Amino acid sequence: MSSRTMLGKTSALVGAAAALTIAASGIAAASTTISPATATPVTATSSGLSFVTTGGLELYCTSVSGSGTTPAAPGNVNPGTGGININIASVGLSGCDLEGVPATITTSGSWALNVNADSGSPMGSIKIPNGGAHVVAGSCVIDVTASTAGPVPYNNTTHTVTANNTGTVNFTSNGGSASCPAAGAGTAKMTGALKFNSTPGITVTP
Amino acid sequence: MSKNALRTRVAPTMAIAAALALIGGGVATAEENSSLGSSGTPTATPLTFDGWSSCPVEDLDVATCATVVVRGGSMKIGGLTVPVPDGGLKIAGGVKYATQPDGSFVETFVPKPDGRNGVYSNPISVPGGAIGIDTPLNLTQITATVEAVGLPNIKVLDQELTMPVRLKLSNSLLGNNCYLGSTANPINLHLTTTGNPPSEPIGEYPGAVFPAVQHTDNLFAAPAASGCGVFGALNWAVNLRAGTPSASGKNSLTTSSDVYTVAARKVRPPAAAAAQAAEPAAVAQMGAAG
Repeated sequence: MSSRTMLGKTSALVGAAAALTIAASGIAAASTTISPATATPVTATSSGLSFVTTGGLELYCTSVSGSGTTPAAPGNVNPGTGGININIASVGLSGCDLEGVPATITTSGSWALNVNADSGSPMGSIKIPNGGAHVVAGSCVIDVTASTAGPVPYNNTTHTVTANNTGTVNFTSNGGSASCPAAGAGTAKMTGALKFNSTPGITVTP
Repeated sequence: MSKNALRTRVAPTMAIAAALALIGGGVATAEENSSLGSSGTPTATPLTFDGWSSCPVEDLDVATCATVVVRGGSMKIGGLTVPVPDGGLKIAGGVKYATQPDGSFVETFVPKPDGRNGVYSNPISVPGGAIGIDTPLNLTQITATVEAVGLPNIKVLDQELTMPVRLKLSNSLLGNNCYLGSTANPINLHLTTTGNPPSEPIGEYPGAVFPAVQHTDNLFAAPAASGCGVFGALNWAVNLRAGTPSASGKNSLTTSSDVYTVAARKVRPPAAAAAQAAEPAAVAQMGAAG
């Protein structure tokens, strides 16, 4: 065997070993920890959240709020993938309009904020149950179906998740009037920041 | 012969000639399925959607801006059928909502204060309109222009459009004051639709557009002509030609329009938007002070 051939086989082996190491470390990194480890009450607020349908119609709310409690140890750690859910109760959206048409939104079911550090960076997703929001704007009626809006970046310093025309919110519309999405199923993208207020502030780490 | 006497004799002669031309047109039209047509090339540039500058966003109660661009259609008045060309009519302005105790809304259309009542129209060119055939130099050409004589109302929620209008008929014989309808007795258009097509993002401007919304009104009445020719001498000829007055049920208007809509807050200048945002706080402070 020539030295050149030997070198080639060695390089291949080293490369394969390195790949296995990276893969293994990738699996090991897929974990999420919420701090503090004690159950911590948290309120989520936003001073402007919009949902834009694929048809270009915007549902905008000037105020969004909700409250929940982070899980205490050991529930504050997920050693695997999928992150950790923080159940959000009393979700309220007010000051809403559908392209200017006054809209009222009632919420129901179990909403949750899912936080994860599966990719190594803190992320957040809003999980909306089927029928979790009922929107009425004149004769236009929109019902939000099961959706996971996100993941979007979570900032451990400002304790804020920020969406910029991201995520997917599923809905059905009755197509009841103008400024109303066409009858049937549709999707919308989310834009806005949702701040999580707690003492101390919660952080999400791998 | 004095000049006055000559003028006195010439004027009736011209009126009779004009009347004959118009009546001739009426006969010709009747034989041609009563269609005037607008096959001539409009001289005006077709009206298009050109942004939200026609929305009076300085009125902080305006919540939605809406623009309707008529892309085509057909208007039938009595025995007269006039195709509506692409871009012949545009209605633009803002909409306020007043919430009622039962949760419903009363919508109020607010035009830009430019004296147009939010209605912008181009003359609909009708070559050969007077006698049904094209003539050299378009001497018998008639143009019809929709003029709003009152505030229109756009119901954004139902995509309905209500407009009191008069139809101005123009050519050299009819003069500059020949109308079907008037301020006191307008043609009251009430265009309704049966559902909206899927919307699309406008793209260049914020908001959404519902393309090719079909509107219909089969119930409006068309009053008799007025002001046509010298001292209205040709009113009767126009009425004969158009079949006016024409009672409700004998007339129709069908249009296909692109309907644009956007929340006013998205196109309001930053200073006005800031003032609007400060309003609740100011009210709260006043309440606390009181």
